[in-house]
Amino acid sequence: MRPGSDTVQENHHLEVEDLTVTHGEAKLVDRVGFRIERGTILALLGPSGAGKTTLLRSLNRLIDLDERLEVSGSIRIDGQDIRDSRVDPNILRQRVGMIFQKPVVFPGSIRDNAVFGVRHLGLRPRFEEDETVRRVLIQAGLHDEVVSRLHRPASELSQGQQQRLCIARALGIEPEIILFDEPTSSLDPRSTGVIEAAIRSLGEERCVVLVTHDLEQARRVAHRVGLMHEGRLVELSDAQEFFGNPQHEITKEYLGRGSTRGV
Amino acid sequence: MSDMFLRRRSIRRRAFDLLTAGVCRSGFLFSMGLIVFLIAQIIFRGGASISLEFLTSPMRDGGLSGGILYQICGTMILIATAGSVAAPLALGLALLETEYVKNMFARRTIQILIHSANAIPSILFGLFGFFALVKMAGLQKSWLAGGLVLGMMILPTTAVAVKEAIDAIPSAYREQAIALGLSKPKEIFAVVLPRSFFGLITGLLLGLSRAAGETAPVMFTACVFYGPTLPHGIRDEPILSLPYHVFNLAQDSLKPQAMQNAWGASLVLIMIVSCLSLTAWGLRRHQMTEAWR
Repeated sequence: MRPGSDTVQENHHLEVEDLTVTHGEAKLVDRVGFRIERGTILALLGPSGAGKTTLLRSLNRLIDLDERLEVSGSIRIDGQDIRDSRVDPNILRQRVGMIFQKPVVFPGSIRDNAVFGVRHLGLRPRFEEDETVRRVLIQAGLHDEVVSRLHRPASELSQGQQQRLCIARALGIEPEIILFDEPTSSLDPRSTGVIEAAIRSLGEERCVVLVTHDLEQARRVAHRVGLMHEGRLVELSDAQEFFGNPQHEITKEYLGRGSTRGV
Repeated sequence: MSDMFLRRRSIRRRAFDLLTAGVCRSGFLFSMGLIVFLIAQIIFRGGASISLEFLTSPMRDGGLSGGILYQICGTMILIATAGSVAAPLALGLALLETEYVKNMFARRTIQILIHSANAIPSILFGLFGFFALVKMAGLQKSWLAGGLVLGMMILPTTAVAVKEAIDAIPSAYREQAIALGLSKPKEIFAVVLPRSFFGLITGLLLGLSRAAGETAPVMFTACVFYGPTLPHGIRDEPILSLPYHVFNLAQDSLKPQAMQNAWGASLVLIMIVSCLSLTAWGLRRHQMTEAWR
């Protein structure tokens, strides 16, 4: 059981109910609700400005950093409301890892980056670091490429490798839920493929929420797919049904436009 | 618009450009010329005094003979004390302003205070040190009082350099650390401090290179002209220093040997200051190119 997670159950789940995020008069996220279980990858699609990233940042309370935003509704992880004043946001963020659009590696070696969170949070003793490095690099699909140069600066890696190192870094703290915010938007097809494989693998045991613009990526990776439009989650269904038989007009239009653009 | 009008505007613009470039070049050449002339004078006049004996023997005959060993030692002691005082205070001040004070009014007030402190003439620091440390705190004239005053004097320069280094940290780095669950103190330790380290050292060295050459603050608080060797305690332990030595020898300018030794001590002082400045410059370059590797 993780520290601060006294209500963790075996079958993790993430439940969002009536979530609204406002910035002044503007509703960035408007009464969004969904539930995903452990072992599920949810892809959130939608045009720019639809509220996908804002929703994602609400799930680990990174949104708290922007004091201008107001949040209402509830987000529950294994039944515990993460917006409860008794929840420590730092411990929450250890349970809900996040991978950003642009890979950012910290100064230092590949190894230092892989264990950055583990080391600074004091999660495991130093003598276990080698094993952690090996495990997270394998999970992120990076191990074989960097095993011979773990002590080289992380900045020497390609963009795709840096993004996988960011995934490894997040995995070091063993999150139960992982949020991906357009993780492959600036990467080449090969790196994208490796990262998608890593996401699929991670989604077998965790809840994964993936924000993407890429319809094909959502089709390849996700179990469930949702479309956000002007802050609302207009449609959410199983991936096969979402792409094969969309119900909402906005979804049909979005998928149609997406396919004609070859997205 | 007629061609003639366009041509006239073009000629005027070119003339203005040439004038501006000329003024800038002249200013550059004039200021560089002054610096080169000054340094050349010190090297030319002071070079004759420099010898192993001058650097390693104590002063004799009121500075007319002997060397500047204890003046060099005293200057180093003052620099080290000032640095030890200024470094933690500057780091704390910069962290307070950038990480913990969210109120814009309070932030601006801190900034104004820091910049105002930077503009205080060094003689006032000397006077303050004399009353607060030498008299009130009872340290008497001592290396500690001098070092504390110099530390206070370079605090603003150092704090500004650290703050600039912290401000330059991309927000993405902080966000990544926070997203991993690092608390504010851990984020500072893991991300902010490594990044601001070179800023701290750079600011400190720049401040110390200024402090090393200051006469006024140490005149009131730490230095005497002759007598002391190395300090053996804290209170009432005055020391010798290079700038104060030069100041005193220059008062005896009618004696050629005194002036010769003053130039020699000046050359050693400028070498110490240059070493500090060049190290600061090198570290700044390192910070800009390598620090995030």
